[in-house]
Amino acid sequence: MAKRFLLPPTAMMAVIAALSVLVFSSGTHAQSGQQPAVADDSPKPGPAPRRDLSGMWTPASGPGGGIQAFGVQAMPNDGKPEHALPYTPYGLELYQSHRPLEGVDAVLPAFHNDPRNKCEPLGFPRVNHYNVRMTQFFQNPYKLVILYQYDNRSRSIWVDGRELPEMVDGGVLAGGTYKASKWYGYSVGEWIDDYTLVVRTVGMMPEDRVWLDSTGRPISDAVTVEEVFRRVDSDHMEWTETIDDPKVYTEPWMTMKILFKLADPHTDIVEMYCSPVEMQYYYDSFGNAASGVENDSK
Amino acid sequence: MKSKTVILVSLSLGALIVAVPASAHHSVAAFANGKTLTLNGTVTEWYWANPHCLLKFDVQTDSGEVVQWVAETQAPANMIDAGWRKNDLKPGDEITVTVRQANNGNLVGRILRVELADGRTLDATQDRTGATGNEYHLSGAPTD
Repeated sequence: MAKRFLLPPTAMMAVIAALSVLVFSSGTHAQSGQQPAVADDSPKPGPAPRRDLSGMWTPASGPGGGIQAFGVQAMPNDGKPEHALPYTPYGLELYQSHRPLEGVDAVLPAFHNDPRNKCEPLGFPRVNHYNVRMTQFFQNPYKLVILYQYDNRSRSIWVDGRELPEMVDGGVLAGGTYKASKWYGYSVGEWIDDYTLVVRTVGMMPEDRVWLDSTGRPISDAVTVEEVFRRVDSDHMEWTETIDDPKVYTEPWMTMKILFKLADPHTDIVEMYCSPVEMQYYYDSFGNAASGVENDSK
Repeated sequence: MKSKTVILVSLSLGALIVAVPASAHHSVAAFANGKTLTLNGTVTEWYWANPHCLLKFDVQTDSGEVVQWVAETQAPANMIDAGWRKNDLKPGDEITVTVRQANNGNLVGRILRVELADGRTLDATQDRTGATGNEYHLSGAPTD
């Protein structure tokens, strides 16, 4: 796939920094010198540790900052012209085939076709856009593992210097070896300075299995996802994501830029599982009635 | 407090509702034009589960008929920070429930608050700061 947005790291960082000032002022406090959107009665953060993202992270604006019920954080699906996406004809067709439970085209609970409600894996990058709350980062010299709160899912990012696998039909070539598509893809990270890790991910599941967000925006197996993790100081990290999916979108676009803060490492995380049994009971007891349909009529 | 009559509290609030997501699971479009009702009833089940906790309760109508209502809140992860617990409600408990009824008039709705016989009130519009009255705070609900 064409590396349309894979600029040299320094150029890419400059673009992101410029966009952050223009669009995401709430996430740029630490860069601009303003007060961060966190409790100001706590001690001032110290300097960022070198090449270290480990810890338990939560959105700095509060857990709600990562729920993304309106769709991806940077481009909510609210009908505003400035949030219209650059769909290809195929991408628009895909979007119109989706019946989401959120966003401007939301349907009543019983009429959705969101794979999430079958308790399918969210896949990547949707896992970055659904209830991103308490998120744990574990790191060693070879890999970074991100453990998400929702469904207790994890993904691994290699930071051992390997090359990003090459996308091929149905999967990737990694070191010349074919590997099949995965829900959470193949991720490789590179430290472009002591505080910034750039991660690229390819090799995800095809568009009939995954969505980009809860409002039905599509994503395909042709996507390359680029994330930038920037350690702002001892307590904060900025997490940015940009997608390049030539099947679905005519140009790359930024999906999120969220400031995270470190949580108390002793925090016991609340489970958020998708249980097929509980989901069925929900619809039988409530969701169908709220939609005006009988339980056995659909 | 016995199961008694359905008390209509407010129709006006329903007109103020806008279809914004109440959670990351589904929008509130199904309730956007629903009535706000306060119901006296008896708990038959409190289902603490994802994607939403469900409260089932029996209500006796003016004509003496007993009907079952089902009302949803949010996921357990959200409700814990709103002050709710898994064992707050048990079958047989006498309660007063304020709900936003579904647009279609079926006996289902979204819980706004539950008053227990012991005097406690569980408020589904409360956020982690203790502020109440924001029906949609759970679109940004705390959970951790």
